[in-house]
Amino acid sequence: MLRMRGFSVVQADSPEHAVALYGSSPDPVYLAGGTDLLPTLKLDLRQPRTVIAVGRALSQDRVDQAGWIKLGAGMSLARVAALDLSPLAQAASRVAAPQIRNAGTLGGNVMLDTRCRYYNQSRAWRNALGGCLRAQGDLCCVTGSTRSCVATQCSDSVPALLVLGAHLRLLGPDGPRQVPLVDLLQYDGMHQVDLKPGELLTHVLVPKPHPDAIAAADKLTVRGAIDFPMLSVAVLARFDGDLLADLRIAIGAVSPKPRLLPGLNSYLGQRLDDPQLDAIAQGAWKRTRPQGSIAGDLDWRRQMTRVMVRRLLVGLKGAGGVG
Amino acid sequence: LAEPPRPDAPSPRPSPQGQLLTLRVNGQDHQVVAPPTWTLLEVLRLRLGLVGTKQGCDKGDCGACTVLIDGEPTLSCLTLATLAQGRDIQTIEALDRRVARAFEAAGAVQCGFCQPGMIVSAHALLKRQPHPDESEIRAALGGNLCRCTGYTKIITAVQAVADGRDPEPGPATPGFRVIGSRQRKRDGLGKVLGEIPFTDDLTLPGMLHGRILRSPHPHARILSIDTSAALKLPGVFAVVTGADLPKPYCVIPWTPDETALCTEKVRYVGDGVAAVAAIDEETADAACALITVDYRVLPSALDLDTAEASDTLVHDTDWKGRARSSNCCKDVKLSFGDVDGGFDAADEIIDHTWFYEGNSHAPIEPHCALATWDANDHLTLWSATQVPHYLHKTIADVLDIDPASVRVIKPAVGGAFGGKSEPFDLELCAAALARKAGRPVKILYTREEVFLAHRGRHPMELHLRLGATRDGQITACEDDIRIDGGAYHSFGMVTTWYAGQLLTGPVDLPAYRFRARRFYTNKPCCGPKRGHGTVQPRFALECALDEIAERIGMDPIALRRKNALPSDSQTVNELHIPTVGLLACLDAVAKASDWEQRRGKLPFGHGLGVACSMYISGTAYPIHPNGLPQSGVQLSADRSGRLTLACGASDIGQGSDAMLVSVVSEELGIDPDAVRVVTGDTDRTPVDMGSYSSRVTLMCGLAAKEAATDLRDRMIAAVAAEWQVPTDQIQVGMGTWFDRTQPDRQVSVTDAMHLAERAAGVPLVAVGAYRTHKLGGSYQGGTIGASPAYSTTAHVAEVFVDPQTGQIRVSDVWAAHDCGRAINPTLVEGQIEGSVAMGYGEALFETQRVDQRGLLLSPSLLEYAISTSVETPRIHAIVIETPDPAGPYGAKEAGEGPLHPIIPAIANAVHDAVGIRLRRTPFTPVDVLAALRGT
Repeated sequence: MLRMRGFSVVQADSPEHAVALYGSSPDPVYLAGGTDLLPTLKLDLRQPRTVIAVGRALSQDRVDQAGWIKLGAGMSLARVAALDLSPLAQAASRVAAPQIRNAGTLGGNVMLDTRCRYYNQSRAWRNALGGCLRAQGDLCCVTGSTRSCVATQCSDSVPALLVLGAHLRLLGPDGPRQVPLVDLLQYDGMHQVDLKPGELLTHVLVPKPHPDAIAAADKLTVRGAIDFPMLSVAVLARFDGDLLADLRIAIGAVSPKPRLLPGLNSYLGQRLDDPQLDAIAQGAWKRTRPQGSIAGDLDWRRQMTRVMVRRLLVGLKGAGGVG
Repeated sequence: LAEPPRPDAPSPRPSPQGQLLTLRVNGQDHQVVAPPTWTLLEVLRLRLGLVGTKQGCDKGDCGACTVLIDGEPTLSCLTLATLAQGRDIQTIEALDRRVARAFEAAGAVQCGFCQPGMIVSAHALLKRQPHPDESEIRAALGGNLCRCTGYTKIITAVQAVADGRDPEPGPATPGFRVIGSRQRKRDGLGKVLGEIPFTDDLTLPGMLHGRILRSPHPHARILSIDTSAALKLPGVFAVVTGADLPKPYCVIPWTPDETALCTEKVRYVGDGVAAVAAIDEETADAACALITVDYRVLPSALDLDTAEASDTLVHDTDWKGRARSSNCCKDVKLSFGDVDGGFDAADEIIDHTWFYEGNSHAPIEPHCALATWDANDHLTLWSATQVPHYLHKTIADVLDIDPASVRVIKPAVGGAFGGKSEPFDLELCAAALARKAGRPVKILYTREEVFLAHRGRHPMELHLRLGATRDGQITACEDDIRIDGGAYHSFGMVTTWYAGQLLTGPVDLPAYRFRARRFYTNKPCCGPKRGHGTVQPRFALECALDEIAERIGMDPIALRRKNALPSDSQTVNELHIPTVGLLACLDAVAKASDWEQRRGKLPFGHGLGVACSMYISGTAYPIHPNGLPQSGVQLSADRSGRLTLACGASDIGQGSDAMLVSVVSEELGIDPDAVRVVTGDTDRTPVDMGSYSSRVTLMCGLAAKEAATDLRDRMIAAVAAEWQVPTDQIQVGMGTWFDRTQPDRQVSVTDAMHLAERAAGVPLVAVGAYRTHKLGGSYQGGTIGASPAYSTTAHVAEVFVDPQTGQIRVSDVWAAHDCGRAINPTLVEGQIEGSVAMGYGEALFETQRVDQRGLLLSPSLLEYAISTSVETPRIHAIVIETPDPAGPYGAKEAGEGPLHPIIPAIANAVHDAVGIRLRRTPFTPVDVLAALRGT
């Protein structure tokens, strides 16, 4: 079996303790649920000397306060899936499998490492490949680029959090800060979330959705369980009568950066009928350029953006009782 | 390379990084010392001896290592042990056995390897939701992969617990005592509770761990290997290279083209080059990294066209040292009947090229071998193998030792499906390293190595023509097949023959010719996967039949009925088919699926499709044609009334041990619990060839029946003598025998044994065997494909095709299989369900492919998708019995035949649903959409 080696484990008692340990330990890495990090270590993709376990340090609770829902980053994905908070709960309920959702955390899923078929492999496999831009090489095996890594961000929760307008509460050596999630995501497979060294995600803050908002999420997979998405879509809408009062769509699992579709405000005040549905779906297709860093035909994944967006919106109309 | 073994070699030292952990496991605090890098799985298995928790995939993709942590199913392989301190850990060993018992009773335990994890998940579900519905069960078990059952009986078992049902074995078939009753597998509970060990569960004092260094190149010449740095690494005990094991071998003795480790060339990425034995896997890994190999990289042949062009030769010479000029390693051409005349007489001819993608067995248990040499220089090798006998022969041959000094033991095997049916490098290397190190050596494949070892389904390109008259009479068939073999031969010679030979039933082909050519390529070697050699051509033929039916406007079931071979017939290529249950199978699936009312009448996107097949029950022509029996059984009585049955048969989860118990119990009226089975141990059992080609029920079953009948007759004679009545007056009953003229005159089976032993004056022992009959055609090669009996199968698949996404959902499969006689219907259904699920995956998503550098694209159970409980269709197994004179009680095979029809049945259902023809597996959404655009 694949065995790990070369690190020690320290447990943090509080976020502050974790950040302090990070500053004082050699080659540190944070570990919450471990379901994403341990496969990485087993494949020898990273060689930390210190694993800082933050599971006990992070809050696992939901706190509702003035306009915000504050979710502890240590909340298990199984608990997130049981929240009354669409589409985040739906998205969490589709992560991998029950065992992973029991151990994996919301924070870990937001910070999920990007994935690439040329990178997430054993050392022997990567040696045979001759390395890639991200590991032991200087050329991206997906694009041939010498500059950017296009590993895919496959988090199920991130698109859902994007349409919810979530913020992240971070704690770093310089203290806490709160930043909109959308501002932290970047198109870089090696640094897909723009955190400063040592920063720890402590909470996910979700603005309380409008009482009339309806939302949904779906993912494209081969199997009914276990798989990472080949495409992930979250939508949120609000209708004022039959007219759109709010519309947000996020697309993930196509590149290093999940995105909110721009330009949707132009549909506000309109009905969501076939012409609008077609135009929105077409716009989603147009703005989505999947990378070949994960399995699944590129054109098909792109085409499915159109299908999934349209279907989710039609579903929202149904759920919202909009004619 | 290494020092000769020193008797005072130090014991393995604890890891220097070890730290004291206190873990609360199964209600007790345990203090263990383990490195901080160890997962809970490693501590449970290696420190606490709780081997019920299994390791299948290395990294959280399969669920076999599931335990409860604070009551929640959690993957112990993704949990650092040190972080599990202070939490309540429960493993399968300590769980309430209610769920495990229900699994065993329902037939949900085949190999038993994924089951501990599965049961843990089921246990947690039932605690949370005592009355789950089917979709809740499927969702809760979605993270636990099972390769044997198709999840059908697992769902039944969970429902049985929820309903408080306690399944009974049910009655025997009328006229029998035990045959036909749903006997539980008596090793089921022991396997799922960790009591019956799998190979990796075994540990020996002083045991070392081996690792194999593998080639990074698809094709290269080895210029030099330097192992000196590896040998100097503390904790390394021995290194071997190809030079230590130069003798070529192959499971088929005519084609010895591989060596345990490469000697001159490497032929695929992953070909073994050197092996290391060290105190632990981590050190062995580190030592492999210190071995320097100089290669001269050669051009490679990674596809059929390049291979056929033969500009680059995968093998420079054949096994006789003759220079090769082509990569074609087998070329078979045969013709039967008037093929051209048949096509001339046809009103419609279907003429297309089909392509069947390669795929792998992916058993949840990775291959594992453990070797040790005793003070008498005798080798004992435990291995997860389907073929202890062939392994015995090969290991003696390659290690150049007396076969009489070798003992091969097959512990419980966690799924095989053909993927463990020949010797592998790990067995030979473990034995060689153990000899060199003077210590026991275990080698466990990583999941990636399981895919590299492969021997899976061959990719095949099939150009098939099929002719028929307007009224639905098939007139001729022609098939030109190119087979992508990978780097070595394996069973490839047989594959090539089977691909052509086994297509001539159960639909009669009155004239038939084929050419099948197998090519070497620089890829992991293909071999026998469930339905060896024939799943691919069957796909093409059954799709072609559907197309013919469409052209002539005939119902596809009616077309198959019209052309069905009758029982006791001879195919055009001279195979004698004693019984054919095709009509009964077709009737059963037509009725169950409501075919007449629904097929062709469902809305767009929703369809039904049919297909059928035929498969061998063992091969008349043994791999080593030496005139010796193919299977032997020895029965010996203990004075307690217990019988011990010894047979070389290899139970790999299919339940052959249980089958043997049923046969003996039937013949002697002995309680099944009083029959002990010793199998898969070459020191203790008569030879059996192993579990392949669906031979075990027929051949071992007949051998057991012969032994039991002999024993019974001697016991009857002794009882008759005691009672001074004619022998035909003795009636065998369950547990008690009696005088049929005076039913109250009785004797227990135990007393009858005592009478027989007393009469003979020697211990009560009986033997039986299956002796190969001469069967098959009169032409060269005519014996290949000849079997004593053939099973038949028909499937109807119901599909929903999403015309926008191209995705295919298979909701239901009705699978009727004629197994001749169901000795144990639960086990037969299990084989049908598992076959359907495996074929379903092959049809829709399983692929074993390499990229342009020869690198495997799916070397893990995350990337190589095997179906989960969530999307696997509902499978309705229907057992059809057409008793065959060749088999025990009429039994034929059930393990492989039922896989074939599902792939074409899905393709044909897709046509019914949306009007497209899919001629390439797997049926991807991209291909569906492309075909839809083309219509």
